[in-house]
Amino acid sequence: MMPSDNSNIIPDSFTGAIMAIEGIRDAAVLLNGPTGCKFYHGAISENQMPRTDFIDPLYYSEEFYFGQPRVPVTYLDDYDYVFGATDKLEKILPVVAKKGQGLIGVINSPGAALIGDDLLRFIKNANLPVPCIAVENTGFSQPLAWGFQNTVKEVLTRIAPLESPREKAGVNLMGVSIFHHHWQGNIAELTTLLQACGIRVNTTVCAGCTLAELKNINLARLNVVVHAEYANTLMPFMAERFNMDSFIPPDGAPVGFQATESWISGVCEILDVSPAPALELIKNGRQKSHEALNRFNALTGLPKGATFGVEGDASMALPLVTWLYEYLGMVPVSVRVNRGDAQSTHNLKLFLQKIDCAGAWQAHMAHEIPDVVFGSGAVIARLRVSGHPFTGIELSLPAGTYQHVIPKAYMGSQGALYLIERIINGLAGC
Amino acid sequence: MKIAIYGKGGIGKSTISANLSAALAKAGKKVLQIGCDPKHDSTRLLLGGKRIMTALDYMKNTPVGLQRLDRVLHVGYKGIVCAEAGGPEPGVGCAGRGILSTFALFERLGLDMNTFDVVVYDVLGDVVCGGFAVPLRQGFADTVYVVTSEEFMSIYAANNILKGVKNFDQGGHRLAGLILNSRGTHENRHPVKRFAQNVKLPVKQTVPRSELFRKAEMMEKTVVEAFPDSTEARAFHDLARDVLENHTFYPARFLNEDVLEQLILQDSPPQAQTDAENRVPSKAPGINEKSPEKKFKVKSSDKKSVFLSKSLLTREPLHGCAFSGALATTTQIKDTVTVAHGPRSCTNIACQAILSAGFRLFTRKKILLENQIAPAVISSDMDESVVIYGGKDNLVKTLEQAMEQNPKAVFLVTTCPSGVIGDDPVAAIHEIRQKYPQIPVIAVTSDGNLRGDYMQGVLNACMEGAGALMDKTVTPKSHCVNILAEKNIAFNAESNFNTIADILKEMNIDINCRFVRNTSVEQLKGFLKAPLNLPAYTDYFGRLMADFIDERLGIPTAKQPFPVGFSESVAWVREIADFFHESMAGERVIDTHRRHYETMIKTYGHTLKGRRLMILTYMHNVDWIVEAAFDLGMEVIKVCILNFSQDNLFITRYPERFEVETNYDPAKRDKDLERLKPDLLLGNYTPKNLPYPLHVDIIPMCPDVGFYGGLAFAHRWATLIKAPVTEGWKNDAL
Repeated sequence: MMPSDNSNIIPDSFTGAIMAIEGIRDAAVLLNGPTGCKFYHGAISENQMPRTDFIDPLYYSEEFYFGQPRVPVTYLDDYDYVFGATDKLEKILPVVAKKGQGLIGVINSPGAALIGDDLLRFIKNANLPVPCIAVENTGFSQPLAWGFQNTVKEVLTRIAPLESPREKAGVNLMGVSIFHHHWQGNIAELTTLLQACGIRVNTTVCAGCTLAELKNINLARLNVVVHAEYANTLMPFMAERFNMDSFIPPDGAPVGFQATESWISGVCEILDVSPAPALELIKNGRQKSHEALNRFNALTGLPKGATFGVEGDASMALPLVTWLYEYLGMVPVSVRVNRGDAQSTHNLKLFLQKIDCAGAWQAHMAHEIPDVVFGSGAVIARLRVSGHPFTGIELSLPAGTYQHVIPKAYMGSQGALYLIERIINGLAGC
Repeated sequence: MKIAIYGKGGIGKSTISANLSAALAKAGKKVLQIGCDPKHDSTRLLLGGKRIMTALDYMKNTPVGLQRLDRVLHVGYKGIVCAEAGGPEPGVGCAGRGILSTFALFERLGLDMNTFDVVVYDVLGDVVCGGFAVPLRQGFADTVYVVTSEEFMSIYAANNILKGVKNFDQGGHRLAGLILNSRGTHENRHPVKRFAQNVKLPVKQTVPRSELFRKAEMMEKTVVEAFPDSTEARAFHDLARDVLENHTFYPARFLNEDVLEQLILQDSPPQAQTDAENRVPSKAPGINEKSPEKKFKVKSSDKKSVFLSKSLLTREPLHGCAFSGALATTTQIKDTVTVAHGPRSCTNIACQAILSAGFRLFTRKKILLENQIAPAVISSDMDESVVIYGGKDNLVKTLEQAMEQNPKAVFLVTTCPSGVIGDDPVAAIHEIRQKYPQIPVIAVTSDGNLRGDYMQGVLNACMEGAGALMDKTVTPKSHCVNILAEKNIAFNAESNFNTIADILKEMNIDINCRFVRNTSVEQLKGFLKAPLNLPAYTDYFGRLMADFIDERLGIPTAKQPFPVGFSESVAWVREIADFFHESMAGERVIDTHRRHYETMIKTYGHTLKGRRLMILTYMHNVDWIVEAAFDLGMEVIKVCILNFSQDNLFITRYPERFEVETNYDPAKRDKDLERLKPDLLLGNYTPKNLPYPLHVDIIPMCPDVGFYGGLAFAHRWATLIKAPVTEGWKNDAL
């Protein structure tokens, strides 16, 4: 009788905008809004990219911080909505500027966006030694990736010079944010593969990068996209502003051996370098995988025939579904994609039709709980309520309470091995 | 009778409203006039030129707990009660939001519009946003007059106002007609007449342009007061009569812009008129006679208690938002759906807090609570167009989605954007009720944080949301209790409830209803069956809940909260047992637990005896831990209480046995540590950069309840004290 899923409990462009700036190590968001919009983002930012070694709220008890090290806020209330937040904005800007950040992004909450305070005027009048950008409207209920990209563009417009570099080398990784689960592990794995082929990673745009890296963004020869949803409007921007080409992986994000091979080969082809060293690393991964799967399959017949469900972005779902089906012989019973990359979505639907699993498209997992579920911690926990046993593998936020000390990846060769490890152990009932 | 006078800015609405009020008062009516214009001069002429404190200025400068209705209501000419909403300076803030806040203030302070014969709302402009449409909402204005002049922009604005009226015209018409405030005798009145004919409205009164208005204004009076025998005054007496006697209301019809333009701009030239209307009496009575200010008196019996969160009451920065608090509470009621009206981010943020508590509950206690893992929430996903054009249709659609789930009730909570644009949830609910009369739809006051912080949302959801489901006809039952004020974000709320339920069971007492946690519509309907409430906490929230239920429902609440530690448990069991005449059973329970408690004290006491303890915490009741420490032979040397948004009352049973400092300044910590040299420092977080190495441990904000709540830590401390004072990993910082 009650809603059977949490399909509308997902972040939107407001969170995307905040994550774009919080993804820069030496930048900070200043939120013009109520504390209700602050606590979640302050916690997520610090949790996804810890920058302080202490969580006692007493250490961040000064005004505007409310016990958290990240995302100071003007704590708007009813009176500020009526009379404007002039006093608080004038007061907060110097406080945040003193924290030693290289860039401050002043972002209006959805409510604050409606009262029309002129953020640029406050920034100009504050005459701060730190560059600031203003994001007056992050959009209402737009996709997270939309808000993320718009804000990345604002940042790059403000800080990256237009002049052409003398010599270009390396690539920028693009289309990944600190809001992605295991983003650090994934970037490390992709960087390893690229470096194996002699390709330097110039920066990962707004995902753990520095302002200095972003200022030199046009030193790279190519932008390499990870998740297409997070780069589809950035790519034309990069072409227009910096005259830079971008590589969009045709098989989706580098999830699973096949998509990873396709991803690295595509990049190497454009840069005219050999992908062989990276393919060798992937081959090693395939051999390890075979070893493990061979033993497991010999005793159980699995994972072939085991069912799975996926809920996530299309750019991740496409390669994952393809790989699980073709490589592991698993069968999709539910593939749920929410406003993902259009091309990946289209290809995913075609693939499901091709393998006679069209019914899995957007099917509720609760109707037939799969053996293995890939999704957020919330998706997995929700299915746990049924009491039906299954293996849950978290691939997006919100994540459960498990603390990952060793960085995990679900991309690249190591990411594929991690997923295989989880699947084998899950199906074995461990 | 409640009349809204709408019209374009600068058209003379305030002059007309004030003169109409004056004429109505002269006719013996008790009148309230509310100026809904940021320039706050609507009532000036009724108050002898006095500028009064606007409601918004008053709200801004006065803590909520000290606000009084008589400070914003002023008595003017012939006893007319006057109020001004006020608003921000041009170019900043949101004036429409100001109107909403003003009406919320009046409601909160208990202004009963029904005690007046006539209420006149003088409203700015052409319904530019939801705030200015407040008087059109149901329950406010039942009659609407639109003021216009002969000028195109004025008629254009009038046409827009009719659009606005149409949007709110549900269940009957409210338009009485137009009032023509003429710009002069030479003006062409044909456009107004043609406009009136086309929108099928009568021109109820023509107010002539007259020097008398300027003269009266110089005298800081209305024309009705200053020139009572003038033609102009008579026009207002006629209008007042029309107001009082009118029974004919018209549907709101408006013209599209092309038609309107054609109608007005392609008009014949103005015709000459006589100047007979401009005659002025030789002497005006009452010049410069300013009467002393009268205050509006509110009968104390009219006022119900207002239940406000601590932050709202003391004007502290608001922690979290009422939307989030309300959502976290209504989602605890099974078989219901909560509709969250706002952008997707608001629902996500609020639900992440719920999920986070659900995850912790599962990780730590292995309890999977569906309400906290999959809260039944539907977001209206307010987008840019909704923000600009209003969200009623979008909201109705979302409510329909909720209804399709066939729940036992639907709750509606609203966000800041919804509050800022002034969406009217009542109108949407009205519409959906007609389609689904069998399912209750209950709005909970929230508007993001515009109506308060997280705690206020929790309070509102309990009082307005869950409270609305109670059946007042149920038959009382003995030997059962309601549980109040559990903390939904506490990871041990469920295990604590189970502990309490077990103790109660030993005394043959059942749980009737949990208010409001992991409960159901059925439980809430039967709330009034129980003769006693048990508060989980008697912090600020717990006390407020108890007061609310006592005042509104008449069910008493036990004095003591869920007990933590032995002494509290003994006292608590005795209180409950006495109430239900189960003293024997109560003593049996106590004896059983006493034996086990004493055994535990012996086990750990020898290790901990003589150890010095200092506590630095946000909690305002630490007796549970102090008691355990004393029973173990430890020495409590100081308790430092940090300021906490959810409580303000430190209490202890051991007033002379240790140093206490409330509102503790954390900067003092190191000096205190140097001076007192504790063996163990307890806090809610592990502190960093201590002046010297010492053992530190964590105490939870919400401890486990029951006889062993404090002693549960004895085993941990006895072990901890044997561990090295500084762990090796602490030397590995970057």
